[in-house]
Amino acid sequence: MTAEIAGLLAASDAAHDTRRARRTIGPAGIAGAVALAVVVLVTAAAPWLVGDPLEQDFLAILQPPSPTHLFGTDELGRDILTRVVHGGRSALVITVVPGLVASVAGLALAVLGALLGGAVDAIGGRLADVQLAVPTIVLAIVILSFVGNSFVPLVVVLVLGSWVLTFRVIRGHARAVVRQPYIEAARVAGAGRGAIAWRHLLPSVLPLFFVAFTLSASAILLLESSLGFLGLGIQPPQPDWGAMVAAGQARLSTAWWLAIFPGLALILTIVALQLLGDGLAERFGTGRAGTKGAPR
Amino acid sequence: MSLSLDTALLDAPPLSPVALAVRGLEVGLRGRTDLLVHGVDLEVREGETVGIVGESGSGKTLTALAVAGLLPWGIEVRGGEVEVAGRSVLDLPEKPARQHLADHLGVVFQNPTPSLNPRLRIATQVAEALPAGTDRREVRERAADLLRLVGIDDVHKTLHAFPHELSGGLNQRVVIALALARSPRLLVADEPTTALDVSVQAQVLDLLDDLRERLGLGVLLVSHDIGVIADRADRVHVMSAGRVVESGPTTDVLGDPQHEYTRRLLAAVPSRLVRGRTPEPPPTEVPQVSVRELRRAFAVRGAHGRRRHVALDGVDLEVRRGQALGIVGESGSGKTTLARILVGLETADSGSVEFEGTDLRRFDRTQRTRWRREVQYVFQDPYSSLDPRLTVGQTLREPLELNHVDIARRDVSRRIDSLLDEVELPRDFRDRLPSELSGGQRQRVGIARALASDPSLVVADEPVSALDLSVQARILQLLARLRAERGLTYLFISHDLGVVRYLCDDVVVLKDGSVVERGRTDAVLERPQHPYTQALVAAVPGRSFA
Repeated sequence: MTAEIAGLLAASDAAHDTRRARRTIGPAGIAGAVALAVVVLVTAAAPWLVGDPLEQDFLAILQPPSPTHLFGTDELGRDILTRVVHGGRSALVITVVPGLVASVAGLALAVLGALLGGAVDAIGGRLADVQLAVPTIVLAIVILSFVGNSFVPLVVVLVLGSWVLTFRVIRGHARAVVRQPYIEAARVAGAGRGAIAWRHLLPSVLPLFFVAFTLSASAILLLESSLGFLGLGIQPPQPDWGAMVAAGQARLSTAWWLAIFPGLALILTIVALQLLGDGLAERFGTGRAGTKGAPR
Repeated sequence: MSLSLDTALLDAPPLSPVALAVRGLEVGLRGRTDLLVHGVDLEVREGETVGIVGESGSGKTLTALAVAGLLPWGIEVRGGEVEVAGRSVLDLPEKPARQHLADHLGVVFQNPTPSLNPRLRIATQVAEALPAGTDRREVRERAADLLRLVGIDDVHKTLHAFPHELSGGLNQRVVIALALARSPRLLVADEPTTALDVSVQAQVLDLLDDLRERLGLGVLLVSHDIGVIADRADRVHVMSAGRVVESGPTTDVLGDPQHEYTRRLLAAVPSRLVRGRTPEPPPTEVPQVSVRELRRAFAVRGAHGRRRHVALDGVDLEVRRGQALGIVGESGSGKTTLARILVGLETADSGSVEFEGTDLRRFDRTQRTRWRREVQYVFQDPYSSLDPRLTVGQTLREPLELNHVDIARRDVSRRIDSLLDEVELPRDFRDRLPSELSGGQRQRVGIARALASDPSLVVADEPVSALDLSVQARILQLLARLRAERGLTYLFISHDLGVVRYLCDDVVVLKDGSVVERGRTDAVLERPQHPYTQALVAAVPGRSFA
């Protein structure tokens, strides 16, 4: 009877947000997508929009924001706006590439584990435990100080630090889904493991995948900036948001614009990513009772 | 009328006090104007059982919950009066109202196990239910008394047990004991036996009757099962779509129903369904399925470490082509395990399953493909057996694409239409999601999915037990029709003897993983030989009117 009442309540919810709500990513998701699109476009068009990020002007050192330098200048007289716009490139590349690699790896391990069970699942689980036991930032410092901080080691470190999130989230859900009677029904209907994964499992974990991807992407962006802040990320003089915040932090009381603008850019990108992720989850989820533990 | 009433009043013994009076009760969703319960009136006197019967969505549970002050968040009482033990509860502020209800009203829910806290011993839970301020020694005595009152023999052991160590029936007795802890005058029982086996169900209902008599309790018994109401209630209210459509003494209402809905409900009781006889199929040399010495055990983690639970203990079975074989038994009898082994969702520890003369384990690739197609399964729960993300069309497409690789895309679409026709669903349902279907409609989709592979044998595990009575009747009629049209063989698993009687020619009774009786359905159900079958038949509720 309680199930019946839950259904009743769900039905009254559903009356408000029926099919239309399920098909869109919602206003917040759209806002996130638009903001992210702006960040990406501006970053991509950086060479045409603004000048050279390395150009120095010793006559205009540490200028506050003004019509000529909208975001002000730094201690070498470089235009902050130009550097923020250019800094987006490294931030986005270093976010998207490891984010995708990490999420896809986590997804693959989780789905294979749920589907095959036994040793495969156990190995994935143990790997995740080991990974969680080692603080990512320590791992990053160790690896990067030995191998040097070029692009590939940086990506490897960031992937190592973030695949577990996707793996954990998707594994829990996938294991619950695999036990659902409708998966058994598919088996009786003649579906093999591949067909079950493709027809039932992947569509059901997709919303979680989006959430996990955007969460990892923003975590990676933050991690990359922390590494930049520690001097282990993108090397100066190339502009990097994390490194810029780090450099500007010392002058926060006298020249606030050094750290604030790259920091704002960072926050904008992260919030946009999260909003978009939530929107996508909403769009691809059923958002109804039906599968236990299904994301709303 | 008034004259005869007066004389009746003079002769009749004085009426016992009113335990519960509900007048014009209205319940609705918060923030919406339409009502879920429209003006229900009812009265329960001490020492009598009043039944509410109806199908899901009729508002019977909401009425009971509103009386007990337990409506879930988001649902509220809109109007009317609820008077418990002579005091109107709805006018009282929240705290005194709750106190008053706690002192005068006990509640028994459908499923006993979630009503108990799994982490606390029974003793602690009973102590919690006793009025605050009872001293410790007295608590122990009162707890033991309460358990004795609800017919628990081994009081000491039960008090020290955790809920998962007790059977469902025992747990339900504990829940009843908790409800009685503050000596209420009224017991609200919402489907108190629906989650229990038939024989346990009868015991729990006997207990409620006994308590009503001994303690002079008023009992409000809510059930979807007309049989239970017919046997136990003095007066009955039939609810449909939030209204009481008919009420009166049980024998009058069920014996001579006035309202159209009551009549429909009574006509849907499985044992009353008129069955069309299917002709005896010609005996063939090789049975379609034959099961020999099938054994299967599971490791379960019990109270005292791991132990083995024997689900099947050497079962032999033969199903002829075109036969409808019913398998009955209570929970734990192994009937579901048997079904799952037959369709390949589970493997046996030992013994053999032969399909058309070949052992399942010796199939080559083509035989396996053919068997996969020929043997299909209808699931018990129409809610979880459909992928919530796929439309009806996509669900039906799956077996068509997987099993008939050669089928053209246009033909797939046509086949889906004809399958929907066959299970009597409108064709435009193919674009609907499971969440947009009712339970009965979902089960029709489940049946259509099984038929999509063109099977010759359909194994159905309690396919109607999750459905309302009238929906159940229509699904049973559909299954009977499909059998006749397609010449299907059925292996039909059910705990409901009425359902088996309607659909099956032969029946096998399982108990603790072994067959205790088998034969023609009518013969077995009318002249059961084995004591277990006799007990099973005797425990079926509603024999008084079926």
